[in-house]
Amino acid sequence: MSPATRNSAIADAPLFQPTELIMGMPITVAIPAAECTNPDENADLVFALFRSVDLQFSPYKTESEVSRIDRGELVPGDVSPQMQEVLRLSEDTKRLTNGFFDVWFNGRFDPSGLVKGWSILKAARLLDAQGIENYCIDAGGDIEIRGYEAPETPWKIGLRNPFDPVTIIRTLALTNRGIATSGTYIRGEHIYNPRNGEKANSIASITVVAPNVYEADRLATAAFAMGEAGVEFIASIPTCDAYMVDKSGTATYTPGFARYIAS
Amino acid sequence: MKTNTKKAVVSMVLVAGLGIGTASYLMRPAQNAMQLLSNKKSTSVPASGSSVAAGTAPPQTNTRRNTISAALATAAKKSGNQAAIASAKSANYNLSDGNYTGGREYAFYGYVRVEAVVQNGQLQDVRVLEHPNDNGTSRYINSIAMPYLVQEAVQANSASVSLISGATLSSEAFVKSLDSALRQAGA
Repeated sequence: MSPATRNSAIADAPLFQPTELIMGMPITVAIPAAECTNPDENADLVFALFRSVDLQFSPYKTESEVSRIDRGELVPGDVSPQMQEVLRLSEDTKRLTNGFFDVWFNGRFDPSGLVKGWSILKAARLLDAQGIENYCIDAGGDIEIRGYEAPETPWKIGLRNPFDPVTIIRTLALTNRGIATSGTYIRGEHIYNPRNGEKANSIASITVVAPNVYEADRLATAAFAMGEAGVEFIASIPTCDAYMVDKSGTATYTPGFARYIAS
Repeated sequence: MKTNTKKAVVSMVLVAGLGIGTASYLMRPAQNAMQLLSNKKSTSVPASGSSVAAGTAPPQTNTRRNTISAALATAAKKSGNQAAIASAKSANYNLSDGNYTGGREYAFYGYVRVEAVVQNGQLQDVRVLEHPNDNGTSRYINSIAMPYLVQEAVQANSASVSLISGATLSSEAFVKSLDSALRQAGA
């Protein structure tokens, strides 16, 4: 079979792309049909991981480990290995963001700004261990992208239009990257966030592309909270790029982001 | 698809050293301005809403309840919460006028609660009363000046994609809250 024929056949094959609602958000595992014979089992591994993360790390489930730390029932020495890892990564992120990102805020413990990307990356490691080389794991719009959608065809990822979420504003061609978008809901279509009365942020959304989704998620979270300075902050990190949309509809992006733009 | 005139502009935000020792570290290799100007193809697409499938409510009230929930959930899963709203707005539910606060629904990052505004028997507006925050605070940090950033006007893009990165309200919690608000309105 010539490479061209093979490419064409695989490109035409359907993408296996199941979605489940876990942690209050849609989780999608995308695996090219040619990648493996048991995509269901592999997707189920991912979904099971997210369910366990929800039980352990939700700040809104009273018996979660996060809630128990928040109430002071657990001290750092008593927590699970997973929580130790999250606490260590939280300290690391706090330093990286000049103290801006902090899982302790107003005396409450809430690491969820970091746990989402962390758990997507853990799920990705599960697929890696199964020998899956080409896949995407999307949790609520934050995506770990590995390999290719088809031979020599990077994954095509859209950037959601923050003013009109049924449309996209850019298409990116990505391979072996993580992408995460942080933002607020915009007035378009009469939806608004009443908290915006304070007008604390002129940013509609900021998308970060990083070597993996854990980096992208934590940096997007921090960068969004920084407001317009966020895109500059991302630009200061050599391996990361960002695309910021402000509320006037102007996008500002780091020069390196241009390499990802497909259309 | 027609290609519009270039809308991208290059914003040369060249900031002199701020006296911080890390300035050289922050400086990325300057890119050719012409390169930045090129490849800024934006495609125009029909206005939003055209891709939204309108939901329809069946006449029987006993089955209508589940159908409305399913229509909202399907639209939200397919195209996001905006599609769910469009579906609910276009359906003839014969609602009672008023404002209805939906249930406070759990999402991993917090809770979602919406308010449905019903006028003339139709859903007119959905207001988000509460939604999970991104763990963000309004604390401000000093801007780290960067030499080059690129700017462009945001435009809709019609390319087909595998997945979409974006900030959205939790669809499941959103749909549940909207559903409970519509139920109070007599849907």
